[in-house]
Amino acid sequence: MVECVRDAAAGRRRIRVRGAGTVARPPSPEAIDLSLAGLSGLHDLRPGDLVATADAGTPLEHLAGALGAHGLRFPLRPPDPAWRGTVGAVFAAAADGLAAREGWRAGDVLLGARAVLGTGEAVAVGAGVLKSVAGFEVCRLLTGSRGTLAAITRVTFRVEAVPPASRTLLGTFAEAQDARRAIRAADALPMAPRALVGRAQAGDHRVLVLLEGPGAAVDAAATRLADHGLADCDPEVLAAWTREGCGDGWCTGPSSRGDPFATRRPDASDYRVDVLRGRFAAHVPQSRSSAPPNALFERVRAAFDPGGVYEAGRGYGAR
Amino acid sequence: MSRLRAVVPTDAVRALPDERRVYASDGQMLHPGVPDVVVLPRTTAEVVAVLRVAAELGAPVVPRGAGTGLSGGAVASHGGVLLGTSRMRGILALDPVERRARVQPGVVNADLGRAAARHGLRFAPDPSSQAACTVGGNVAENSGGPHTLRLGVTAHHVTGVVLVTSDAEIHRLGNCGDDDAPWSDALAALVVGSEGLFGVVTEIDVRLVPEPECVRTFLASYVSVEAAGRAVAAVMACGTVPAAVELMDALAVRAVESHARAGFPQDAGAVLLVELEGGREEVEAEEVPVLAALRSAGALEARRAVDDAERARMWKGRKEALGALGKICRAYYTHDGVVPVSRVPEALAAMSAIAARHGLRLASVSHAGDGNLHPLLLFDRADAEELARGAAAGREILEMCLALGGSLTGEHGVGSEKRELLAAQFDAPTRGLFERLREAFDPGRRMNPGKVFPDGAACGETGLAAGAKPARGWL
Repeated sequence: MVECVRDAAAGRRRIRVRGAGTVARPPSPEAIDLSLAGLSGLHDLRPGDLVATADAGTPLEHLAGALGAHGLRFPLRPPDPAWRGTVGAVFAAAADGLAAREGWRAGDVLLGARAVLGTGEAVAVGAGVLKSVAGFEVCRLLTGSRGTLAAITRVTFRVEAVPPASRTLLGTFAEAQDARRAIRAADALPMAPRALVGRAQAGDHRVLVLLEGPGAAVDAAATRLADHGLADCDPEVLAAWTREGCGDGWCTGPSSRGDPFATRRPDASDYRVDVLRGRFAAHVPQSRSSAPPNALFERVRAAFDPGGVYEAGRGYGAR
Repeated sequence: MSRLRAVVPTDAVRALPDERRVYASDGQMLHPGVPDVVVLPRTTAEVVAVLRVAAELGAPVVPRGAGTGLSGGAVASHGGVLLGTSRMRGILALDPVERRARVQPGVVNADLGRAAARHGLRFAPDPSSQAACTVGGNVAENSGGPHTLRLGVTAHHVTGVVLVTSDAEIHRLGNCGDDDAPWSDALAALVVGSEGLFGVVTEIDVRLVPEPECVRTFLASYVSVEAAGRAVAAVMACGTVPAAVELMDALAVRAVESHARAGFPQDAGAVLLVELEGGREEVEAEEVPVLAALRSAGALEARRAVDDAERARMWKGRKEALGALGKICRAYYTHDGVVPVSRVPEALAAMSAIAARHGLRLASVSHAGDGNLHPLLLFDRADAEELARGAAAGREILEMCLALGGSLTGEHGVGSEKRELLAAQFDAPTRGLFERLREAFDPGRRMNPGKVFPDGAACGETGLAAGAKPARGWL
């Protein structure tokens, strides 16, 4: 990897980094297509510490098997079971999915990372423990960078225990206001739902709630939500919604960014949540393109890749 | 001085020696540094004006909240301008529906908590100093606290900042910005934990979380810190993430009881404070395995707080532990190393051995659930030789934490205190990246010099731009 990057820099070539290619668009013709799929393997698993380290090209389905043997799982579920994405891509794309615990998105789950900068230098940021403030929060910057700052080669991340019980509830409503009432009820549960998603589709309004935790608590929550028209459904529905996005309907989910002090734009390109005000925005799982990076960000980018070896245009926008 | 007084109210400029000496130390009092001037702006505009003057004069700038930090991060070790945010204490907005607040950096953590509590919400980071520390300081250090085990540290709860860089430019990042831009969110996230090296944060957009329906607090006592450490590992392995798992050793417990009467057993070798929170059914279900885990490590006693009053006494005892220890010794040196949770027992034993080898008393007060240990080395500040032994013991403890796969600091920051050990945790290419990131925000390296990075080349480490006068030369 280091040699490849150094050769590219020396030859003024650009590199497009990808894992298994499930997220990335094809590289431009002149760029080197650098696949990290070969950097695969669970490097370290410490069940008692709730920490694991894996090479970036490790498929999530392989990770799931290794963690499952210890009653653990990866906290993010961006793929449906058929997705063959890599663990590195989850962080590189900030692919939180619809069932990320609030406050524990990809950038929060990633504890440490090794990466190769555009200079060809290999760095190791973060730490291998649940909590560290040594050094700057580079992991959070790498999360969502889509290989435009550095090539992530290894990740250390938090894992979690598989919950004792799980129920997926679905409600279908003819009227949006009834769907909103169901969403409010789920949002007010004492045990926070793991996923709370709404979707307008084919003339009706659907609300999906994922409850996880101790059995009695899950059942108690489900009973409360039954009064609001939510009933058990196939857990695959959440995976299907994740896979399909939300089409041209509205969707709520873990808020990637809230902005309470400005008017929300009901814009289809806007991935935001406004559950309790009853206004919704479409779910857009791909990289958002918006205002181009400013001079400060470009200086930050140059700290990683002064020569512009890694192809930009995704994640944080073009140079 | 006159240039500063021309841009901020006169009473915002403190230049007399006695006025400046008040700011010579923060919570880590071993290496004071008196600033050349103290400025206390009230607004972003005043911060911009101050930084513009400092830039014109090539002066270092040290941002400071309440000065409760424990790594020397808010000390003007190179003189210059100490920019205090104590007058920037407005809660600019609080939206209970969106569960968000926007605050100035000088808002005291506990004051934000009280404002949020009126709406059944709270700000999750709860350092033991929360009655005094500021949200701006929490952002600078990426502060934690006992309840961040389940809810996450400050970085999990900041969604935007307004940052004024050393060139007096305003950067509205994340939710504080106008653009829905991933790069802006990323920069906001990077600012958290930057220890004042990237600029002065003048507004912070934070996420608030709901107060739980049910809270249960447990106190367990053990014959030794090692046994308590094994209990910590057992609790964390039982499938539940508690809201908090706190450990105190015998010395800390005795100090707390003589000061706060928290009801801790004074004959125990160590106590654990474990808290569960969530929905009622959730907590009731989690209580059983957690109590079993506490007892599995040989608890002398494991009981639940019978009411809110007892719970409050327990937490008062824990949060006032450092203050209580200050009453039984002339000084103490607190460290902040982190180890993997499974190695907490081993680390606690190693810390005791290190302290003993250096002939020092050790008290241990720790956020043990995430492996964040706070060994307190007690010493006589008037005894230079004892101080030297304390420094040596502290360094060995941190090296031990790294050897066990941990980190130098879980929440106090590197500051000036631990900068010489940065190379022990990060290799040269990584440190080089950190340096370049710092320079991306502050090319002249005038923001909070002498922090995070070890002393190296002369001009760079004093934070002076090439050709600028030394800090004390501009007065």
